[in-house]
Amino acid sequence: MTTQFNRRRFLQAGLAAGVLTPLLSACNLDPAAKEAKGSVRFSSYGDPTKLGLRSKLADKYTAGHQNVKMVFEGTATAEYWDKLATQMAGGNAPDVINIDGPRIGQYGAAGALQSLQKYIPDTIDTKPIDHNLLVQGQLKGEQFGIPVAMSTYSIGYDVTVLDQLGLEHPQETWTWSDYAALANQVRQKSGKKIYGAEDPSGDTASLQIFLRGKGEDLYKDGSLAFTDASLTEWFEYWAALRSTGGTIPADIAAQSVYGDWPTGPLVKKQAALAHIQTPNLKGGFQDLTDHTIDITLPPRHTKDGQCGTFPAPSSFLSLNAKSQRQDDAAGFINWFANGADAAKTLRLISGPPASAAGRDVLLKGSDLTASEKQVLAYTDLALKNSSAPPQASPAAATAVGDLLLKVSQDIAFNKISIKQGVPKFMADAAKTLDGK
Amino acid sequence: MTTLQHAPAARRRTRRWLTHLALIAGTLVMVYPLLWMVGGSFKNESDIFSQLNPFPSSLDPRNYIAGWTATDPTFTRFYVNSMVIAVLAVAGNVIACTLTAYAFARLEFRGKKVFFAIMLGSIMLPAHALLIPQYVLFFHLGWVNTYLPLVVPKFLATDAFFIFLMVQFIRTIPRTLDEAAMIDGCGKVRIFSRIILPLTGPVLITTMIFTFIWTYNDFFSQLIYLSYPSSETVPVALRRFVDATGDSSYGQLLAMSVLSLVPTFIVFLLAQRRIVEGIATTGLKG
Repeated sequence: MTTQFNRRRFLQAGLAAGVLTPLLSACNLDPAAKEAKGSVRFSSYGDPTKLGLRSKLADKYTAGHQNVKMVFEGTATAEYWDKLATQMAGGNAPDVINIDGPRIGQYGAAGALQSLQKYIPDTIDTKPIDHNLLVQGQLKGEQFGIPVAMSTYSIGYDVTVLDQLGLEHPQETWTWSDYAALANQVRQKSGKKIYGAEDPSGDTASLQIFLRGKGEDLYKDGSLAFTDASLTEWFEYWAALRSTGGTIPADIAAQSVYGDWPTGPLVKKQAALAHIQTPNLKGGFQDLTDHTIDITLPPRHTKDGQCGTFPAPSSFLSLNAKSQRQDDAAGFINWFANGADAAKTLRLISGPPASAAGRDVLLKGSDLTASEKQVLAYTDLALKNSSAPPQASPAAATAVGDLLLKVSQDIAFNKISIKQGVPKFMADAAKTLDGK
Repeated sequence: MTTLQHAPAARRRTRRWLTHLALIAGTLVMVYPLLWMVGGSFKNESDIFSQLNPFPSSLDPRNYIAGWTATDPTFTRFYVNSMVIAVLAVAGNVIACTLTAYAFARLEFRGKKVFFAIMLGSIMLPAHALLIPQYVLFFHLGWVNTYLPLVVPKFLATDAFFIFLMVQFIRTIPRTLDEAAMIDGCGKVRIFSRIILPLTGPVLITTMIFTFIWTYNDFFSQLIYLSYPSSETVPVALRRFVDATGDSSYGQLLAMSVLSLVPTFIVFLLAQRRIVEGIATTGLKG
C-alpha cells in the first residue's frame, strides 16, 4: 500500500519535473540569440536614444549587405564596462566593441583587441579623420580604435543674461583677463543678483586648458607636467574673482559637482559662464534651462597665444582579437566611421562625427537644429585652433583629480592659503602618481 | 490621590505627543526624496532641478507615457520579463529549498554534516568570486542570452540562506508529530507532505517574499546574461535612462523609477506583517 503510494508520489513528482523542464527551456530562448551564431555582434553604450539609433544603424548595415548580419547589444554606460569585462573574461565578447580611450590602453595591452593596422587604408579609411583624434586611439603607433565621434571643451555663456545686461559676447581670441573682466561686469551690472562665472578651480579639465595655453600640460610620462608657479597663478586667478563676486562663492560651488549639469550654476542661473563639453550642450544644458546658451573657445593667455583646446574622441570602435568575422567587422567599422548613412542617422548624438566626411554630410543637410549648428561650427573652429593632444592619462588621474578638488575647496573656504595649498597638492599628487 | 495619578498620566500624554512629533519629523525626512521623485516625474525637464518645490504644478502624465514607450520594445515587455524570472525563481526556491531543508533537518544520510557545512560555507562566498567561472560555465552550456542561468540554479537549491532558515524552522517542529505519523504508516515523503509542509507556512511566505524582491531587484546577473532588448528586465532597462555621456531624460527616468517601485511596494503592502513575523520568528529559535 505504502509502496504504491510512494510510487504514485514518485510518478507525480517525475511528471511535475517533466512538465517543468520544457517550460523552463521555452522561457525566452530569444530568437536573436540563435541568430547571433555566425553573425557579427556589435556592442555599444549610452542612453536609450543613442542605443536606439545605433541599433537602427546595425539593421541598416544588415539590409545593405547581403552576406553580413549585424546583431546589436546595447547597455547603459555605467554597467557597460562590468559587462564587457565579464564577456572578455568568459571569451564571449562582441566582434565590434564600442570603447573609450583608457580601456583601449587596458584591453589593447592585454591582447584582447585586434590591431587594425592591416585594414588601413584598404578596408578602413582613416584619411578623413583628424590626426589629433587618430593618435588617441593608437598604442605604440598601431591603430587599435577608430574614433567615431568627438567631444571638445568649450566655454558656454548665457546669451539671455549678457544681452539683458548689454554686455558683449566673448570673442574667439579672448584672453583670461577678458574672461575675468566679463565675469566681474556681469556681477556689477546685474546689481549683484547673479555671479559672473562658475568656479572651475578644482576641475582638472579646466586646469589642463589653462596649462596647455602656457605650453605645459597635466601629465607627461606618468608624472605632473606643470610647475608650482603655474598652479599658484591658477588658484590666485580664481581667488581674485571670488573676492569680487566674479565667480560663485565656495558654498555654492561645493553643491555642484563638475559634469553634473542639473546642479550646475549655468543651469540654475547662478552664473553666466561655465565650461561645456560639446556633446552635452543640448541635453545637459540647453534643454534644462529656458535661457539661450552659446559656446566659444576657451580663453588664451595672450591675444595671439596658443589656445589650450584639443579634440577628444568621445568614443572609439575596436575589434575583438578573438572575433571569427574580423573582415566583416572591419568593414562595418569603416561604414560606421565614414559613411553618409551613419552620419545622417547618428547626427551629433555623441558629438560631431570624427570623420570630416561625416561632418560634410551633415553640413550639406538642410535640417540642422540651432544646437547642432552651434556645435558643428564650434568644432571646426576648435580643430583649427587645436594643438597635439595630451598623452593618455595615467591610471591615477582620477585620484589626482580628487586631490585637486579637495585643495581647491580648502582654498576657496579659506581653510588653507594658496602658498600652503600648492606645495601640498604637488607633493600629494606626485605620491599618488608614484603609487605610494 | 487623584492628582497623584493624574500627573503621570498628563506627563505620559505629553511624552507620547513628543514621541509622535519626533516620529513624524523623521518620516518627513525619510519620505522627502520619494516625494521629490514622484513630483519630479510630473514636471517639465527644465523645472526638475531649477525648482525647489517638490510638488508639480500639474499632474501631466506625459513623462510616464513617453518613458514607457521610450525604449524598443516598450516597458510592458520588460515588466513581463521581470515577472517571469521572479515567479520562476520563487517557484524554484520554494520547491528546492524546502526539500533540501527537510533532508538536512530530518533525514539521516552519510556525510550530512559535511554537506551542511559546505552549504553554509557557500553563503560566505562573495558573489564576485563566482561571477567569471559561472559565466564561463553557462557560456559553454550555451545558456547565455536565455533565462536559464537566472532560473535553473534556483531549482537546484542554491540559495543557502533560505535552506538554513527552513532547517532552523523545521527543527522547531516537535519530532513526536513525525513519530505519530510514522506509526500510522507514513513514509518519509508523506511525513514531509502531510506534517512538515503544512507547518512551514510562515517560513515559506518569507522565502517567497524575499526571493521575489531580491530577484526583481537583482540587477547584475540580469545585465550580464541578457544582451538583447527583447529579453531585458526592468532594472536593466531603467539604468539606460541614467547616462552621464549624453542626453538624459530625467523626467522619464523619474517616472519609470516610480513605476518600477510598484511591484515591490505591492508585495510589501500585502505581506508587511508576514515579513516582520518571518524575520522575528524563523531561524532564531531551536
